[in-house]
Amino acid sequence: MIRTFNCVAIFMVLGLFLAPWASAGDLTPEYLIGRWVIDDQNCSSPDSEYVEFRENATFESTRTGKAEIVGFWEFNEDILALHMVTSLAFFDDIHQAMADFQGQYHYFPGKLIIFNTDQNSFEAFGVIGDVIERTTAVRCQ
Amino acid sequence: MNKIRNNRAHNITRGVIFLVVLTFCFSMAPGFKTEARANDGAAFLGGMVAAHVIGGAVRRSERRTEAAEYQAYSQQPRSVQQAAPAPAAKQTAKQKLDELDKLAAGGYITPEEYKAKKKAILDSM
Repeated sequence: MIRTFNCVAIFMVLGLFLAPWASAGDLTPEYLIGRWVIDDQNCSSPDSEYVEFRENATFESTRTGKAEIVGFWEFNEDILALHMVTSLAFFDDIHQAMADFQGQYHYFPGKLIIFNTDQNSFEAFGVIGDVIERTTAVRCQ
Repeated sequence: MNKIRNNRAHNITRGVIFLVVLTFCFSMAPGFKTEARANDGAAFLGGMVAAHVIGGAVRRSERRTEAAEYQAYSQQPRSVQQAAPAPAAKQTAKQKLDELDKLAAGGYITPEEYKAKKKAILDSM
C-alpha cells in the first residue's frame, strides 16, 4: 500500500513538472510560420532580435533591422532543424575578434527543441554543436 | 516493525520529491545555463554561433597543445631509426587561404590565429 502510494506520489510530481514538455507534441509547421521576437523583447522595437519562419521553409533572423542569419528550417520529430548561413562578422558586438571574418560566409547546422508552446509563445533550447542556449519566443502580429 | 518501515518509506518519498523539486528549480531558474553564454542580452542564434566558434577554437587549441607536447615527446632521439615524414604537397596562397577559412569556420582556430595566419600567407606572396 505504502509502495503504491510512493509510486503514485513520484509520478504525480514528475507529471506536474513534465506536463509542459508534453505540449511539444502539438507542434506543426503551420504553428511556427510567422514572425517571432526572441527573449521576451518588444515586438515594436527595431532593436529586438526577430526570427521569421516562412511557409516556403526558409527563415531569417534579424537584429536592429539587419538580416544576420538566413537559411532553411524543417521539423524532424518535434525537433526544429535549422540550416543557417551567416557571416561571423555580424556578431562583432558579441566578440570583437569576429570582425576579422568580414565578407566571409559560413554554414552552421543548428537545432531547436521547442516546449511550453502557447498560441503566441514558446520556449526553446537551441543547440549548435555542444553549445546549448535557452530562449523564449513571442509571436509578433 | 511496520511503523519503522513506514517511516523509512515516507523519508525516502520525501527525499525523492525534494530532489525532483530541487532539480526542477535549478533547471528552470532564469540564470540556468547549460553552457556559458557568450552573449548575455545579445543575439540568441548569433550568440550560439559565436559561442560555438569561440568555444570550439579554445578546445581545439587545448587539444593542439596536447598534440604538440606528444609530438615533441615522440620526436625525441630514439635508438631505432624513424622513417622521415613525407613532404607536404605545395599549396598555392589561394588554397592556403581557403583552408584557413574552413579551419576558422569550423572553430579549429581562434579569430586571432586566423588573422595572424592570413597575414603570414599574404606576406609570403
